[in-house]
Amino acid sequence: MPPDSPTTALSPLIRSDHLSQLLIKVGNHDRSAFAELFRHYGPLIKGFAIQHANTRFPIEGADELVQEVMLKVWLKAKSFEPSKASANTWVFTVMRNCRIDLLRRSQRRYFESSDIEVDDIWDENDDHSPFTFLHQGRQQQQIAQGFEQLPAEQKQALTFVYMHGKSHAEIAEETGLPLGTVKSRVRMGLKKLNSLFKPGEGL
Amino acid sequence: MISHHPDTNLLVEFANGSCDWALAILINTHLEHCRHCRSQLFQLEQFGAALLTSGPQVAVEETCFEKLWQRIEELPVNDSAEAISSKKLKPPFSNTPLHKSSAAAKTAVVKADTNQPQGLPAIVQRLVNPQARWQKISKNLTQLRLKTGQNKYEVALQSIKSGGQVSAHDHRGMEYTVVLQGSFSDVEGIYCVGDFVKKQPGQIHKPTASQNEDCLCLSAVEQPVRLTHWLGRLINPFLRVYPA
Repeated sequence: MPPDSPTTALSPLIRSDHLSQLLIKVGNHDRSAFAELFRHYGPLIKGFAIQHANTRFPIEGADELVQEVMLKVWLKAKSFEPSKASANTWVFTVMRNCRIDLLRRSQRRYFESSDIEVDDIWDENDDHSPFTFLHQGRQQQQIAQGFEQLPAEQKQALTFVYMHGKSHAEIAEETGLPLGTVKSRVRMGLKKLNSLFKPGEGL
Repeated sequence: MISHHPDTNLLVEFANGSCDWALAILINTHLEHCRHCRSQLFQLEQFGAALLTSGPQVAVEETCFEKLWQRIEELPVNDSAEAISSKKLKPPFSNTPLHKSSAAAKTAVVKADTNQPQGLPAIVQRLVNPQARWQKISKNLTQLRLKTGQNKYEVALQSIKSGGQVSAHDHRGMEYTVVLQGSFSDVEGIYCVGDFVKKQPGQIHKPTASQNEDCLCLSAVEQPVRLTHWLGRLINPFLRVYPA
């Protein structure tokens, strides 16, 4: 599967719809659609994994994480509904659940008696209210740009939250900041990102 | 009408997967009732997606896809995509029968052959072991401890008898409650179905169920409560929580 940078030529808008189409095909066991999705998301997931590598998720395990997440994508693609979420958001939630799952499995001695699984609690297919749903990659691009423009300390806090998957308490511990400060930085950053969502646009 | 929600910080920890397992269960039950928080959560997930897809890209090993494809081809039949998606993440309500009123819920939990599945969140139905026994905590309060697969919070279904009052108590750690049926009130407010209530040390209260119906709640408690009446001084040292 030689990577041939398939995404650069497409506008974000088409790309986002295209990714949804690919996911639907993967739901029907289309190998070439899956290969294309893999070429797109693989490097992003790996980039993400390397950023938040630590003792529990060492850098050497990054390719395994890519495999784990993409395996889940393959297994769950049938339940993807393009009217409920964009492909990007759906893959993000699959990846998040995969991370929770791997973490729990690494702490198994505490948790083996549990009857419920990650997907019972964090359901990627939840019925979200449709009015908030934004199809377009354009909005996502705006958010990403808005993120870059946040004050450094809010950006740092949200990076810990989203890239490293940390809780506020963990962030406070790692940065030496008071918990209250971490919480308010996260809230302020989110508020700024929120203001980038313009009602009525992109629905 | 839901008027008490998890705060933004807790929701963002749910969205990024870092919140405690027990709290995630309570948030899940709140989400089943709360459209507002569902859409908040969705937005937080969209931020996550935006940051993931605009993040750095690192080429995967050349053989990565082939290895994965091999794994997929070797999957046993019952692990195939259909099996997983039909096993399905969460049926709206499982077949575990539970009645609407909490008194009846208790009976239903004990003898699981009644067949009137009623409005409890799916995750709660999954956690209830039909063989488990309700414990009487005080005159008006009974509880059923749940095994949730974590070791930080004692998670339990609690039922307050209609019109009944729970002894005044302070909290030695965090206490989270989601109302599942009925309603209760304390000095700080009235809590109805779906409400997510957070109490911390220093918040002394005396929850009272509404007159017309028993109040059924799902709660997660970090430390034992501290009873504030005179007898409490004798009892408090012996109170324990059993996280599971």
